[in-house]
Amino acid sequence: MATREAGKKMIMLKSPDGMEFEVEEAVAMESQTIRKMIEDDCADTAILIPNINSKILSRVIEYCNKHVPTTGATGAAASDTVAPAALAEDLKIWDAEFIKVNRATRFNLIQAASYLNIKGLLDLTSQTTIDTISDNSLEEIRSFLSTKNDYLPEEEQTIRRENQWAFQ
Amino acid sequence: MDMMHTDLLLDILRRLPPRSLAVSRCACKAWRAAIDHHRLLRADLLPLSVDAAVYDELNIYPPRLFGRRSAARHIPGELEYLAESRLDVPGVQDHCNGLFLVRSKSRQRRAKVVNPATRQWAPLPLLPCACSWPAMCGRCHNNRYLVYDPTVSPHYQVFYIPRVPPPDMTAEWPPTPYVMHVFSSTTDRWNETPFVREGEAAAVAGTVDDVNSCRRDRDEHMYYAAYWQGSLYVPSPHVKDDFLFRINLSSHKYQVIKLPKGGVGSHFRLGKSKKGVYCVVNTNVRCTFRVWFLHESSGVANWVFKNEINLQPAFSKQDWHPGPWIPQSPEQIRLLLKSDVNPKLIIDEYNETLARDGFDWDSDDEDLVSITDWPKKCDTSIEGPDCIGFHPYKEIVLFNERGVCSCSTVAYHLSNSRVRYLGEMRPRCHYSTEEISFAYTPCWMMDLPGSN
Repeated sequence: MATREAGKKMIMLKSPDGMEFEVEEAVAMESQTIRKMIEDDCADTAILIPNINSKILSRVIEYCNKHVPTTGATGAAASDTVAPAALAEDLKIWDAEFIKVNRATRFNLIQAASYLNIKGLLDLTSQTTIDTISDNSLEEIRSFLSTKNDYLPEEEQTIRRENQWAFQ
Repeated sequence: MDMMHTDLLLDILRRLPPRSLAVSRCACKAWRAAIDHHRLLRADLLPLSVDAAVYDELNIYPPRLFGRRSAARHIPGELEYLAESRLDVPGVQDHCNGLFLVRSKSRQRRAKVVNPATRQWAPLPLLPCACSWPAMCGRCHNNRYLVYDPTVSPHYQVFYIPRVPPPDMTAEWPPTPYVMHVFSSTTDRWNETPFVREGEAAAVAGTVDDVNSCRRDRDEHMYYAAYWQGSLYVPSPHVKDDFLFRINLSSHKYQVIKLPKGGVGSHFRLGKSKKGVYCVVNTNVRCTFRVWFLHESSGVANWVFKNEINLQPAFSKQDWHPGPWIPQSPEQIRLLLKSDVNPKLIIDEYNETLARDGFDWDSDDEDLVSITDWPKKCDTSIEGPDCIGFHPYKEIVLFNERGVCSCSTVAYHLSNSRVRYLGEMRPRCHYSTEEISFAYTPCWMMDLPGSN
């Protein structure tokens, strides 16, 4: 078992492009995926994070650093700690700034959040996408998500008609 | 940037409201496959079609349901399960997309929100109001409007728009900011919310003095509001001219829009239908109505005249085939209220019976009768024909006759001026001073916020 004196213990995270990041264990354990590795004792030296380049990984660590509970709680209690209202407000403002990134970065962040299983980051990154889908027309959604329309015009018309109410 | 990554895509799709899912199905084949395979979009649960009319003569009877056989068999119109005591008869105060706002007829003033299809309900906190029982002003009862669109969000809001003018007689009316009380199910609280007016008001509305010179009972009448694309449209009583408020829920702004010209003492019935907000106004000729559509483009709203309807022939015609709609019988209500709702079972059962009862709103149906060439007159044997609501997605308006013995109900198709006879409602009681009636679109979405 890895030690639970989380504040002190450091973990090494490695990106596939060879960069190494030394982070506190508590910070790394914001990721449920990494937490599981640590708890299963598979993280003695360095953890290789596949598919996430150093640029994105450094942003993910930045997020976890900000969101790790600061009240001396151990990593295990992290998700149960309720932040006071002022702190929560401060975090919200910080999140809003954090997510001001271009589309490609955001999708990479969604992917990273999903792989590393960081619920807060996944909610934050996907919310913008959800808002975009909810607020825009079909054409805007397609261009925003770079989705290629592979329907024939008549096919698209038929599918539209199946739920005509959504276009009124 | 691989949004086609199925897990990720599903993560996003699962969080989308039904309307966005319906749009996303059209984005590309992979999206449609993901949505359909996981059955993420359940259009059958949404309030998309008018299956009944509900009418409630407040203070006299419990609300009643008149509709297709499947609706009468599955959804109790009576709301006795909301009653807090034996003397308590809950009455419907407003409705929006399958959800009812219900007030207690006893002196307790705790309103509730209920979905009669799933029978889920949630109590609202008491509205802070300057007046209290027994000296109630009556103003806190009416002017409450429910806002709910489950295609966009499971949450609902209730608006209370006080019409209590400030003491300064020369002040402009409506004021800016206009402070309204807004309940939101996301916070479970009433909040005083200021709405700022956009554009001029005096041209159509007036001053506080004009408001005060109106009949005192103006707040005791009910006005049918419409909710469309994030805005609530609320007709206002006569000041200088008849007008409506267009209240934008997200920007906290409102506009004053003149209502179309009506006859003497006209009733304006607003509603949401195919292209947006419509208004039915009665004219000076009995049985004759005008239908207008509110055309909105780049912030400018204009009423476009659609149809003039004379319903006399429809109501005096004796040889209609029996209609497809029936009044819900007391036995049906008793049976329904005796058993609990099993949501999963009842939805499937309801969908099955819907398919079987052989009724749809198609306008090429053979039961439709054209009335364009009928003469424009109305005999006095027809009592108070009334508009009772709109189909939310098709250009169809429902009318009925408020007779002592005859209550024919018809659906009027705006696109081809044809009429379909729906059936006979139960006769009304004429002692009722207040009445609410509306086209009902059942909603089967579970998990009403705030319900137990």
